[in-house]
Amino acid sequence: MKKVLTYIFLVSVISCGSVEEKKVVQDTIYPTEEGPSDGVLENIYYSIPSPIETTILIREGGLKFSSDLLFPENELMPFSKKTSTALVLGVLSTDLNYAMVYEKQKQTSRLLEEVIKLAKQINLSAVINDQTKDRIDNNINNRDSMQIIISDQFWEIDNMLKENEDHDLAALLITGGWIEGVHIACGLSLIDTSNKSIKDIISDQRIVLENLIQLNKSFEFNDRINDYIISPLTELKTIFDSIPYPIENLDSTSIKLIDNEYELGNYLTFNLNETDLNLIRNKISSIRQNILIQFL
Amino acid sequence: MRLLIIFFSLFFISNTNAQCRGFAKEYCKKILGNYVATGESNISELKPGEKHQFMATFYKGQHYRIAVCSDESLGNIQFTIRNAKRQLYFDNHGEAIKNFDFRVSTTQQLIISLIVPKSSTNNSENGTKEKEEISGCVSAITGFRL
Repeated sequence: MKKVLTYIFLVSVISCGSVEEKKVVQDTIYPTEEGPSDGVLENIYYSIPSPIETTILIREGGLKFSSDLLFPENELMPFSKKTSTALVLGVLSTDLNYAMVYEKQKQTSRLLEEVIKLAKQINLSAVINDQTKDRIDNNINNRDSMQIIISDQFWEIDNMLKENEDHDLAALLITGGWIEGVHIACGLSLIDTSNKSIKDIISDQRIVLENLIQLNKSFEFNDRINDYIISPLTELKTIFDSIPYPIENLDSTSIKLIDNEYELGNYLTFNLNETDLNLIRNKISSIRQNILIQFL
Repeated sequence: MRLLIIFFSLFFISNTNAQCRGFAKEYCKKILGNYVATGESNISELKPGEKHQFMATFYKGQHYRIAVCSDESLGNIQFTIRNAKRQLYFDNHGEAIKNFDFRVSTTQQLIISLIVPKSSTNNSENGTKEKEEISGCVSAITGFRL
């Protein structure tokens, strides 16, 4: 209670424009007093948004569900390498999230079974198993509960992989999930060509891809992963980097208190043109094809 | 002998890592409240004066909470949020503020730093030595609102 009161007090002080010396939320943005000025960050970890965030944004963008965009149903044989399992598990996890947020019960059920099967192969049965399926089955008509259950499961999966020192597998799980998310977004951009939000979601991936590449740089993967996943992702980054983006005006960087919630940063508008969108779509399609041909 | 030392060091690192992950699950997730964890957790074992920082992407249109927790023995940790150009948005100045709720006007990367204060709560007679040796779990979890 004391902590809550402290927080309310501090927030009220700031909102009232007091001259309190220690400002928790800055009303003026200051250049940093820490770290190097050349933009290189020391000992930094990279965190990638979960597939569920992307799929929720897709749904909120008013786009329809397309089962054609899901990874083809396969008889998933045990993979010889855990790295391949983690990559495909990431892909199927995104599909699972996509089917779930659109309340597609048949696909959700099928994908969940496949996810559980793959999870077993990389020793994740303790966190995602038949009990998970039962919990989801019991909440199949309650989308919010399902989203909470699935998000929690992925948090647990990431946690367990890192606990087992399988950081490379955690990175590949995220990578596979991201590739599938961009594939779904690019596919939907072809189905609903006038939808602006899907283009925004795709162009925003430029930032995520940057972090994803940085994350993967920390690991030494086998040649197959390097040749068919990491190198093409770097080529995709080159495509994103060639697209002109608006330059942020540092002087106008702001923090606003809107509806009792802080909003950080500037409004930047960016229009992804059809040529660039095609280049991104083709590249992501070829990376996903690599997964189908080289890893299954 | 060297192999034994390496083995026990690895065992110790792995064990503390597992402890810290359990700690984050037990204490940090609660601070998220009704926000849903976004896939990844950032957990580290730190000593006084050390820092853990991570860069994460936040999407326009989502509502986020960053929840921070640490072992009590480390004292209140400093928690800052900066943009990719390292301009400061939020700083709890080591106060007992464990979370920050926000949204972003444009999808962007933010750098979250967790800094353990140099002066720990340790008051023992061997203060200096113990301050150097003390270490504890520090974690930040990002959640979004459904």
